[in-house]
Amino acid sequence: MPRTLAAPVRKAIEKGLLDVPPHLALFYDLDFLRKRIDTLREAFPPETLHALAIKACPVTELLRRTS
Amino acid sequence: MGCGAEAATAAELEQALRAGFAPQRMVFDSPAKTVEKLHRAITCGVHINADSLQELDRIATLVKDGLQPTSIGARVNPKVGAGEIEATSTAVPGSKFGVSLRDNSVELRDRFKRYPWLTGLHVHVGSQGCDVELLTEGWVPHPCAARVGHLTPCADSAALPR
Repeated sequence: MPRTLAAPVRKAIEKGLLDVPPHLALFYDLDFLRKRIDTLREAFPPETLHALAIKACPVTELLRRTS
Repeated sequence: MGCGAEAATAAELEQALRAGFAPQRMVFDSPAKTVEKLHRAITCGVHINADSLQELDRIATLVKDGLQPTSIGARVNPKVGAGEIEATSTAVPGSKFGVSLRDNSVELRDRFKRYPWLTGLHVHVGSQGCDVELLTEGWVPHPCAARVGHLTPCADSAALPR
């Protein structure tokens, strides 16, 4: 799994995502997150509800993607 | 990615609903829920874990007033002791979290008898720095477990209505 930030940061700059004040961005490795969730899911019976603690990362966009 | 969400505050509950989580895949676990917040959570249809006997009684008042109870559980505290981090340990003897199985077992059973909508038990031995032995020690077969799926009821559970 690639653990380098260079490519996504470069892409964000090219897209102009950092041109907008306050020039801040959060980067998440969504493939890694998905793998972690899948690993957890495989360890439990299929009907188990895995409820993500929102306080662990209350970023709405990330919540939207994990829902 | 198909996850559910656990909200520890009323604000988190609203945030998760707006982020698109289905209410039936959400758990509301705030350690102090007012009548207003409980009303909102029941209306939304999320699972609620009451943190105290008082919260269960607040829900009972709302049910008496005509609100249809959704999925309701009670957080119990087996008080099995601290993990590596004393300050964040939830299962220490003086813990404010949950209904103490040591001190309030009788009252808890009373609520299970009186409230047919009470169908869940919630245990959280934490937070962090807890080894597997401590976590599993938190699983105590309790008569109230008879009403709860996937848990083994203990001997005198027959006394409780299903």
